[in-house]
Amino acid sequence: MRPAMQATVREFILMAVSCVTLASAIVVVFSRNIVRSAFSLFGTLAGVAALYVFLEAELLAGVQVLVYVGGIQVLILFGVMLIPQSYEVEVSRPAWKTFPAFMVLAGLGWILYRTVAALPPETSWVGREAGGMRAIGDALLGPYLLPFELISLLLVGALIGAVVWVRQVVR
Amino acid sequence: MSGAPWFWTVSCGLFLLGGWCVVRRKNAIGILMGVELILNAAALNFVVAARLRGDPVDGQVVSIFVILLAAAEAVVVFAASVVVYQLFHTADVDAVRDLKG
Repeated sequence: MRPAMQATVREFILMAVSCVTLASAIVVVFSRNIVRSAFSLFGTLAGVAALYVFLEAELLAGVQVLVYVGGIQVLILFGVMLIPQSYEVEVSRPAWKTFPAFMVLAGLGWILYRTVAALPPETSWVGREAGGMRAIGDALLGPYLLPFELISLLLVGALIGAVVWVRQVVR
Repeated sequence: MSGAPWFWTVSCGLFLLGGWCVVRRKNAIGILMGVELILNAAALNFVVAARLRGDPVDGQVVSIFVILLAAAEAVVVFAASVVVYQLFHTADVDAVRDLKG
């Protein structure tokens, strides 16, 4: 394939992936059925993983699929299924009650839009190197060793805490 | 078009949708989904910004930390919603008003 055509195909796939990501995020937010939201979250998380591939962060794409799609998403599905009334709760608040929050979010969105629009359009990283897996591994066992170990402690703590908490109440 | 502004636009969209989800949902698990959307947007931003800076390793490491913290947070929220269901028999966060169940 010629390089120009290759770039066009790449852009087209990037557009498609972004659209899938945002569209399934819209379904997550606005669906009236919480189960449909939970399944639609799959699309968003997988789409973000694909965006990581476009950013040449392959390790991060793998982590995203393993931890988010394989772990958190399954946990959310368990939550939806295990809590029997979770799809009987009237899912959303009436619109007029959330109007102030909507205004705040709209203002925030406007600021974000202006910020992104004010960037020079040629902001690009062509020619810049992407960090490989080896570099990330070195960083995790080098300058980031302490937070890395602390996070493993935090995960164990969260796990044990969750089990103890639930067992106490269920008894 | 495939440079940083595009990725930032996507992550802005994810962030705003997640924020709206947190504000609007009454269901605890629905709110958790909104938080996950926000965290995804933040992690994506870290990767893009680090890539622009020319030293992408730092941003990717921070994103890995964000994802792992999100895992811990999801476990705690899941446990909390199971406990709330046991005590109040509902998943509606508006119905939970007592501090001592």
